[in-house]
Amino acid sequence: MAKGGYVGKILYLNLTDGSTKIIPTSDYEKWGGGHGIGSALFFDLVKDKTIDGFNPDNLVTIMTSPFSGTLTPSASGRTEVQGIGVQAYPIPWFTRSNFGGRFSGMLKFAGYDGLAIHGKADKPVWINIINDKVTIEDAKTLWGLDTHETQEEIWATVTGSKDARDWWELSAKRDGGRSTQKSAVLCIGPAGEKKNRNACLLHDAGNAAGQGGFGGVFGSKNLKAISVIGTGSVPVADPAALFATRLELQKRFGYNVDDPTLESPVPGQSLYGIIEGHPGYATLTWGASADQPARPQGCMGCFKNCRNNFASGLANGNQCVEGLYWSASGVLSEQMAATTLLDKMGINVYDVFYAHGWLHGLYKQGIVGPGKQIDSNLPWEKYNTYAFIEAFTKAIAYGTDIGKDLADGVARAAKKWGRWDIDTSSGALNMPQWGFSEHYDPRLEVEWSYGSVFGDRDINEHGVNWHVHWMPLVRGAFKQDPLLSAEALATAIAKATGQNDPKGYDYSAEGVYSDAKIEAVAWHRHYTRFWKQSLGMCDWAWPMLINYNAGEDHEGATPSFEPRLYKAVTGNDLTWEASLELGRKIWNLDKAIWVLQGRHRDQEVFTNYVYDVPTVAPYPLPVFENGAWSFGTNVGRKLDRAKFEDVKTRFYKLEEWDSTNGWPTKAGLGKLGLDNVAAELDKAGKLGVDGK
Amino acid sequence: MTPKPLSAPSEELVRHATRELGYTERLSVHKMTAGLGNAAVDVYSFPQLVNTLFGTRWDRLLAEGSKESLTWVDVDGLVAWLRDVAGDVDLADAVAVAVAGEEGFKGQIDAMTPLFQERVTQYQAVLNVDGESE
Repeated sequence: MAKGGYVGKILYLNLTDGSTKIIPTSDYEKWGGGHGIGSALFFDLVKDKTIDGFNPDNLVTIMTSPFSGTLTPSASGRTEVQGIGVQAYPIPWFTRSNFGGRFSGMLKFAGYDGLAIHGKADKPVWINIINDKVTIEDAKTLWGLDTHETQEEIWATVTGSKDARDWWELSAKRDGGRSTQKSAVLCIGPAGEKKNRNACLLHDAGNAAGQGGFGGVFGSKNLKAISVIGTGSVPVADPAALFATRLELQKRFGYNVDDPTLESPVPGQSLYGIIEGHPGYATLTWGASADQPARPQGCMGCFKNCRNNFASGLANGNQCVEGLYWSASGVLSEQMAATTLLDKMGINVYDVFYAHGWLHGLYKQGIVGPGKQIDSNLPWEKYNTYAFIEAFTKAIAYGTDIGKDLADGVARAAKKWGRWDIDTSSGALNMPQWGFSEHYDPRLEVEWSYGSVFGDRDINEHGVNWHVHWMPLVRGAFKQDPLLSAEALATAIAKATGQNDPKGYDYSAEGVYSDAKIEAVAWHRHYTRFWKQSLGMCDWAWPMLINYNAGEDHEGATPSFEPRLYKAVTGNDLTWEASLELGRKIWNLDKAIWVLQGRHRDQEVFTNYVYDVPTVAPYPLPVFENGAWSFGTNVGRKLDRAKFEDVKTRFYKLEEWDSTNGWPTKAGLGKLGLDNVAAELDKAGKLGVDGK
Repeated sequence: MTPKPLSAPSEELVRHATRELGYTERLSVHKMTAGLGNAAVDVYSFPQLVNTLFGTRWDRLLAEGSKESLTWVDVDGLVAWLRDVAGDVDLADAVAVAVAGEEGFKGQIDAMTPLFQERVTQYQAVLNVDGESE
């Protein structure tokens, strides 16, 4: 039944026999939405959790949240994708990815809280969802098209080539619905068709679910695309309260374009936008918006609109690292074209981001090139030209030249070429855990690196990072004082999280191993599992631990606004503490799935460079040293193996896992209401020992 | 201290300084971006150095100036690289003088920008490079 943010149905599709069925959302509402429901569906529907991601029995869930399609600020447009991935190395874990845009809202307007896709079609297909009509269509004419071409072809099919501004009838029924909208399409490009482990799912111009290799999983299922359009609506328990809360949030915390509280010394600068949040700031191609006509662009219902659409049509809707894929020529239009090519080919930028520079170094050493140890006829001598990056990117997408190996993921290619151990020890190949590229420094920003190694992927959660690292770095770059002192910053974050111990945000050489830090890492896992990944709250807005547009103390919207928004949409009261406990429950369910896949404490380690190679460049973070707080430069730092092992032991005990192997225990799972999960672990001989 | 004007480079020096380098001659520079944190970039030529440090193609530095990219380079290492690898002793000495007393890396980059602009002008004159061409 549709109520309080849920539209009541989860659509299950079995591609093997073409059957569909409805799973009542009410069976799973206790998990919140998004990730929580996806994990629970996976646990219930996939009996053998040890299967490979390419196995037809792998279940891919594509979930919305109660907030999707509503006016909940920066929480309406995200879609959570889960299943056994194909990217992580050496074991592709059950994993997640997430993309923005308008797919989640459109899915709910069609009447579905999510999709669960099982099986494998015997020929290429696409799924066509028009309100309650679901058909599996032949994708013969789509196979081979890039992601943008695919969407244009589907739009022409679904809407009958109507002009984008025209009304069109969704069905022949009298009340079948009318729309001016194009369907929301999630699709794969050539990389996904070839089952690449670094293939992404792409929606609209540049919304991608990259990490995990779900593009390759779609390819293995012969699934080219999912198109959805609906004309329904989402029930909101208290629309007036939701609207009022949104307006209050925007007024207190949003960037005021007419009278900004904080402005970049260089107008419109993207990097400064990380702390003041002007529209379009997330496009990290320097000067791009000043280079040509552009307008801010955002996901459904967002109040920030952090991205840009450009007059050139290149790099539309892109944000963050995607825009930084390649810039070696120094020509902005070529940088933007390289980004666009990635999207069209359907490649996950984060797997290949560092690969071209790393391989160029090997070329310089005489290891890569024609007839060399790593045989390649790509134009390495033209590395600084667009011709190179175009050839490199297409080689990966189509599996030619060394792209044949790179299509298996950079980590596996490195292993095949005999470079993995050498180059992850030197740091030349900076993949700290599970074969994922380094994001923020794993030796320093440890709630990021610990969270990643205790999980399944690079966590990609910036809520703490913006403040502890970017604020002091950006302000310092412009010779400005930090907006908060190191002590005030650590204190404010600790207060917002509810931990109240600023030492949780001490990044000194001792602080990264403290009990307070471990509690901060656990808080981060639990918060994000519920609010970000299950409720779909966008990483570039939530948690709002601090806000530099608000007041002199810069107090942010977290933790007061999340429960208010939840109450307004669902009608249910949820305390802050209960929400974090629900996040812990979801995190524990995920951990149990990883254990069933073969996870053991001994695997949760970093590659050698994290322990052996010291940091070189300044990296401001709050540190408490010699009895005083400051923003340290943190040069010369590395993690200590023995101290990190001790961190693991204490983290496991905090989570009530068996510290000898990292497995969840009967008592710990029982407290979370996960007795059924404990029983399955016990049956597999993988239940941890209580109190050990 | 204000660096003294750079003397005009010879064609031999310019061609030597702008050549493509080998692996052991590279210079490591760190770009600081909100998407990545600190990312090491190996520089294999003077033009690539300009692009990496200032965020624009080397022969457009005059027209576009710095794009305010946050780039960190060990200044002592840069000076040594300019002197010993690129072979441009005058530029190396001038950079060393210009950045003396500058504490922040942004200030260091700002201090050396006019020197690189002046040097690029001189290099272009020698090489007859048109900075407006693609």
